[in-house]
Amino acid sequence: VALVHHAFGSGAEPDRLVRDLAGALRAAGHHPTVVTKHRVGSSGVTEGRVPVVRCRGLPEAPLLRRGFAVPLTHLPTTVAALVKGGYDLAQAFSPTDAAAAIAWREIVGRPVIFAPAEPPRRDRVADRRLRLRLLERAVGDSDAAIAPTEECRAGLLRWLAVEAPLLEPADADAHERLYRELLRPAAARGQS
Amino acid sequence: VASHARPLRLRWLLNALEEQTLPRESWNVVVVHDYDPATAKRVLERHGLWDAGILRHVGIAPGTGSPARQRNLGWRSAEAELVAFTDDDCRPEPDWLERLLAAARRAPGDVLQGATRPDPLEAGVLAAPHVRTMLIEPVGPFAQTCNILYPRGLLERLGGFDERAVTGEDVDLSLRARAVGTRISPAPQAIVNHAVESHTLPGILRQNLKWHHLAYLVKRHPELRQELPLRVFWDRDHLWTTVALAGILGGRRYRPLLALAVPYAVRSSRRRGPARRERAVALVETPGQAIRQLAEVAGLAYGSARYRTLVL
Repeated sequence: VALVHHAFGSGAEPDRLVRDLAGALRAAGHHPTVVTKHRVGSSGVTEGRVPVVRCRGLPEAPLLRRGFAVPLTHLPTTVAALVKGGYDLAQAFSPTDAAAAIAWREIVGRPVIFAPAEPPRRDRVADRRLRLRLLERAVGDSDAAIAPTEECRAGLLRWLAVEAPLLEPADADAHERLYRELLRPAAARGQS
Repeated sequence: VASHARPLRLRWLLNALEEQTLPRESWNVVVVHDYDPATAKRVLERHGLWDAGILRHVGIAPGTGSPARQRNLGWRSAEAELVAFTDDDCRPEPDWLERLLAAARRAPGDVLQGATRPDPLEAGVLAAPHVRTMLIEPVGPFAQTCNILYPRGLLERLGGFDERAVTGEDVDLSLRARAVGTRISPAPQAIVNHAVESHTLPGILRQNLKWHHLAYLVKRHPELRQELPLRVFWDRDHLWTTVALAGILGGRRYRPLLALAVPYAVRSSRRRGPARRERAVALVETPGQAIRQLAEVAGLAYGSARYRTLVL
């Protein structure tokens, strides 16, 4: 399972969600890998017991000045890292991450889950260029949208009119059930 | 509220209406839309205003709507004496309805226009080269429906919005209201925040195609020409773009005519502000802006031929 989160390692709350999920999945016998952005760009690093793939991006300042919702420049290398990783499934933690995961799905045909690590808020849903488009895409084009916290569940309903089930990161069983359900059609396609 | 192709923005509008300070027994919302039943259920029927019995919605077949038709369906299905209009890409301030109602009590029988500004929560998008938003300090000449209140009796007397108008139906209604002696009064404290949407150049050109129908509006209301630069140009950008184009074309035969392009160049370079960086950005954006404005002028020239009245 690829856990795609561009800001992994920043020490913020979303980090904890990704770490908790990765730890729970590992304990349940899965092989999660965190795919993140880093300006240095190196792969094969391990943080704790979780393998981390870092994808290089360009400086974002020019895009930031032109009003874009950054980061964006790491998207091509993130898609490439996902393709190279041979994952069964990708779970994205922000609309930007979902954009990379959905592009990956168009290449390999594997499912994508959108699980926003930060609750959608009115001041963050359309404050920059492409923000709303990325959000709409993440919600509309992912195979499933889930809420890792109650705040996220409420935010998804209020601002995106999406009724997402609450799946706490530590609940590996619930995630596994969802993964298997989403992978069933992909497996059927593979057999045929 | 007339809504089309913006279900999420509509949801955000409903959220803003949910926060209104005016007691809920004093108002209700009617949304007229062309969404499929699943979207309508998800966006409208699973909202707090629906649960509270304040929200009603009227669905029409996709592709059969227009702002005029949808607003007519909306106000005719409402029962209140005062009808406030806003758009599905707007976010009214929490005291919007309270302020409008207070202004209506001070000026009974008047049409009331509130203030509209680019949404401060979306100010970052203004850095884009092609942006669509709205800034209106009441009372403006066009009386847009993003923030206006009509007495129901007046709407009935005027027959509502002109459904033949593809665009500018709100301006048309306000001009007919003025013609029967109704005042349009300001309600500057009643504030609506308008979405700031960025578009690509082809996208904004597609969006602006409909504006050629403004010629219909000017033909119907010649008095509108008093608001137009030189009584012909829709705005100053169109005036200077046309002058610059004439200068560039004429300059091929008689070089001094190139000077006609100078006002456009100066105006364009100051579009972003006086600082060096802002001027540099404006310079980079000038070709795209010029294409956009020329397309708008060309569209209005087409509309002028179609409706047989000159507006550029």
